[in-house]
Amino acid sequence: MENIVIQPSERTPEVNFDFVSGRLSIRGEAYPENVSTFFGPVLAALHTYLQTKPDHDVIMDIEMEYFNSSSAKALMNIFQLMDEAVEAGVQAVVRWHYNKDDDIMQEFGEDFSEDLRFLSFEMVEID
Amino acid sequence: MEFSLFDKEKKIVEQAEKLIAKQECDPEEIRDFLAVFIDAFRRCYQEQKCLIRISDRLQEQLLETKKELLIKTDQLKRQAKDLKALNENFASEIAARKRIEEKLRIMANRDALTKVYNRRRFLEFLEMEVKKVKRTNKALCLMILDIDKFKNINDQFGHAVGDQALCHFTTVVSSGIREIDVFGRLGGEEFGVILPETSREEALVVAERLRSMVEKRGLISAMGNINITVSIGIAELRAGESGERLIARADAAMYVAKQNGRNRVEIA
Repeated sequence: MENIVIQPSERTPEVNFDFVSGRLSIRGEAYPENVSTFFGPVLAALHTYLQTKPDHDVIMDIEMEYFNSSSAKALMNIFQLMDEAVEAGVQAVVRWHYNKDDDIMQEFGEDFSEDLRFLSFEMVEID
Repeated sequence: MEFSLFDKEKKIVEQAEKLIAKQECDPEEIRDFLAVFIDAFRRCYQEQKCLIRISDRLQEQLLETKKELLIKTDQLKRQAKDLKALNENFASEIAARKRIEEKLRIMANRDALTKVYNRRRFLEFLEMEVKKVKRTNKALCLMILDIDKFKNINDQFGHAVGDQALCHFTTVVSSGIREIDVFGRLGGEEFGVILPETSREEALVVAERLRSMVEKRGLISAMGNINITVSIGIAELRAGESGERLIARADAAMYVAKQNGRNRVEIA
């Protein structure tokens, strides 16, 4: 499976999905002009990857500075895919990185984690 | 196929519509679907709750930012106002300083009593005019004017009237010369007029006119009408002559006028 590497832009985050090692990351700001165009291929690739039931640990690092509401929905879809994969037997974890002064990002991470049934969602404070 | 954020939700709705469209329904099938539907609905509702919280929080932040900006804008406006006031003060201070400087400049260059050029400034002008002649080769004349028997006015009417007489004299002479002529007080009752671009013949006419004006327009003072006359000596600049030498010759001509009975013009 081909890895996904997207360089950050003013309105979109950096995406780095290394499917061979199972290290996936999304970092930066997300308020794309068209959420479907940006997150569509990312979600599709993640879906395909998780369907292969990878036998290594899948670690997803998320470090957002800002995201708009539709990007929040896209993130929830990503977490949902991960949650379902764990239910199906994949070893996966999401690590939500937030700046120690950024109460809002901390709260948003906590909100996201509430909806998940199987996936472990770790809060990681950054100095 | 185009991706949508709500693919899953749409799929459930499609399934429901298909089920409803069926003529006959298996209750088992309906129960199974309902389980899936409720699950999806619960998720939908949880996501909605989460999104609303996120939106509210962002809106709150926007409002806070807006309030902070308003406060900052207010502060900036006040600062701008203060700066403007400071600027205005500064501008008026500069204007006041300019006025003082102008006054000082005038004081440095003018005779305190009569306000005509003082000796120092007059001699500077003379040097300038002499240099100019070297370039332009135009004629230049100098007049020395000395008020006749000025000591008598002082002795007879007092120094205040003497001062009045000096001021009156400069007013009369000033009204009889051109803008380009330079009028200065050389000391006591002795004055000089530089006449640029003026030949000795023209200078003679001017001097005679000034002499006559001074004679005709006596000083009207509290002590009565006082007749004033003036003796004038003229000299025209010679080729290569210095300003100093020119003054000396005009001065000598003025003494000749004194010797010849005062109230007259002599030319060197």
